[in-house]
Amino acid sequence: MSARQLARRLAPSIGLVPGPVTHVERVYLDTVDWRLFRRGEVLVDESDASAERSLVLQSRTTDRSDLVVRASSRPTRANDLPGGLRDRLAPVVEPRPLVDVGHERAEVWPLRMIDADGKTIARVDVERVECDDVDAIVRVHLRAVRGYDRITRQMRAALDAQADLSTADDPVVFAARAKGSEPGLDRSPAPLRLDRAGRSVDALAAVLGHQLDTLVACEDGARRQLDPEQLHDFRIAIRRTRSVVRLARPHLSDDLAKVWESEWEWLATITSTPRDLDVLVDEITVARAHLPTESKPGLDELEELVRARRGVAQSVLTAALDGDRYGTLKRGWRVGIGDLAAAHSDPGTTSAIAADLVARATRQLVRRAEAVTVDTPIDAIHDVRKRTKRLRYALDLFESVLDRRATKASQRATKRLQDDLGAFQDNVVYHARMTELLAESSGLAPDTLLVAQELIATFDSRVASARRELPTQLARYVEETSAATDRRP
Amino acid sequence: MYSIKGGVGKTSAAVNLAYLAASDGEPTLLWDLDPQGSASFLLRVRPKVKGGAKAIIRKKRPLDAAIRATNFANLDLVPADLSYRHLDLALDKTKRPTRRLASLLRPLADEYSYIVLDCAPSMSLVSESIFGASDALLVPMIPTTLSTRTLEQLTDFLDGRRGARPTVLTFFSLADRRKRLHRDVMETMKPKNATLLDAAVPSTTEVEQMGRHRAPVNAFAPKSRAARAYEALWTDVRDALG
Repeated sequence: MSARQLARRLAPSIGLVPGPVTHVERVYLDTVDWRLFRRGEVLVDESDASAERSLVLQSRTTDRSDLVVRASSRPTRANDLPGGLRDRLAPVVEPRPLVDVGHERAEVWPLRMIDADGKTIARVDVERVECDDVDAIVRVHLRAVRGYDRITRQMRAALDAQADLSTADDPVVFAARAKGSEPGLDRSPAPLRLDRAGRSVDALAAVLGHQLDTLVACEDGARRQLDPEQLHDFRIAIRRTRSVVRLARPHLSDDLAKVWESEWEWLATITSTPRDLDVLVDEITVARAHLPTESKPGLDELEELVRARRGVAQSVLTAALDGDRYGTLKRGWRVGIGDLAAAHSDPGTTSAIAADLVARATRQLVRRAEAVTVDTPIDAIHDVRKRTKRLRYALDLFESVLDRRATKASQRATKRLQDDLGAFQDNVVYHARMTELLAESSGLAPDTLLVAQELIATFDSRVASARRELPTQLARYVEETSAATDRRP
Repeated sequence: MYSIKGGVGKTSAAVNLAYLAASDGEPTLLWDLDPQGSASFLLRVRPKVKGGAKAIIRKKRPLDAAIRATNFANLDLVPADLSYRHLDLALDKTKRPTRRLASLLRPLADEYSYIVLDCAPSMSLVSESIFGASDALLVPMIPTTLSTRTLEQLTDFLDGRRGARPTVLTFFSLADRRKRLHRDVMETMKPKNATLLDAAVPSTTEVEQMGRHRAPVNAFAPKSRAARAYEALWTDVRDALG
């Protein structure tokens, strides 16, 4: 039966008034990790035949009325949403982008129940829905009107009594499945809790296994470039893995500690360029707000250039993730982790190894931090930053078995130092990437070159300012850390 | 929306401003606190609340359960109820009557950007509870000498009470520039009153037509003079609220 026939049959039989038929395109928006769906909300970008566009926020779990906001374009970030929507969604969604998680085209036959005062008290939409490669379906969508629960229940009963209707998936679930994904499915592994008295090798195996699971969970997002944050998380899993391996080297077999090192380095390198370019795009976006409007054509060309380069880097990354080398690394690493847990006979406890790793990372960091002056070469400062991250990861990964108070204080201090070092190192990288880009591009417009030079000057100025501050910041960190170490029993 | 005097265009302004806020994409709730139920009538919602004023004020039923969607996107309504005429009595039996409405509205703060209270004309315990629940008091005034005196009474009253003072925003309502008195009052008051908004709502047939259309002016006559005046008023109010 067609949607039209069904609407015509339902209207008189359950006391509904038909409205004019409309054609709409709906794009369901969510983060790649389904933050809205898991919170019980659905955001729909809906356009009709007259190109009127609305963003509709629906609640799947409460009786809240839909929030409908006119829009001129599809938002990609929650911060770009209009007022009421932004206030409600940005705290949940940011920094993840909003992506198309499912879409459909629908021919809608709206039916309304209207009371004696002319008030709509029930809404039923009969829709013919087309969705990707799935066969078109006819859907009857009962839309509750807030405050008219009794009528909604009656309407549901009346629809249930229709012999040829059966219960269907929620529209967003239907659209997402048609696109090949499962709504609400969070692929990231559950948070890891270690057993303080457990064997150290089991803890190391669990931590490394958890990072491998995280890597695999972010793989699809990194491969399909759905969300820059997924690539970022993918890289963090690599860095954490390498950090743990470096710190725990005496406890690991040669196979784990050395054989795979070059492979992890390779993976870190191929993910580095796309990530740097993602951040450079963000920097250009920030610059738009500060530079005069005359800079816009230059910024446009520059952004286009960075995005083109990002596309090339993505091709390299995708090919690598689809290749044998990456598959071999994952399989081999998993086997190595399994062997690690089985091999050692007297490995010590988890809390002992956690304290040992943190102490070692702290010593290494403090030694290097003490040597930094205003003239220290960039590579040496970069090394300090790597050691800082290494300590931070050790603190985070073994947090559940470390002394809570001391760990929190150390995490705070390390995070601050990481930010201080980041202010230096990130701008060094931006400078290098931008210079590289200009060297490899020819025929750029003078406006573009001018804007690029302005950006490079900004990066240089940030580097100089951060460098001046670094010795003091590092000295403060060393002082705090030494004082905290002295206080420990 | 508050006034000691009746018949000053309070409900019309409340309905139109709530509608305009909702049209801006801001989730908005209008609570019709006037037992006459004019706002409920204009939005076609029956003036009936299960359990009446007593159940809501005593928190026997959450305010949330009384909310009705209107025919307009993003605009919900808590309808009036005849029992609101005893709201003072119901409030008087609670522990902190002047904070009661604020405490009833607090759970809705996450859901709505704006909550508009359309109050019955009076100076009572209900008014005090409304002052305690509001960020701003929007006070419509017909440009006559009597209205200016009423505003002074309200200001004195607010100055004399304890607790946070809501921002007072006044505007001329039912203004008829053909009348000399209206013109004179509008011109003399403007420089003297810092709370006075620029926008003034004229006395037009469209505002009266709201009862026939049972809809906000901006919904059925969006290009009319009254609709433009309400838009200007909404802009002033939104800017003043920040």
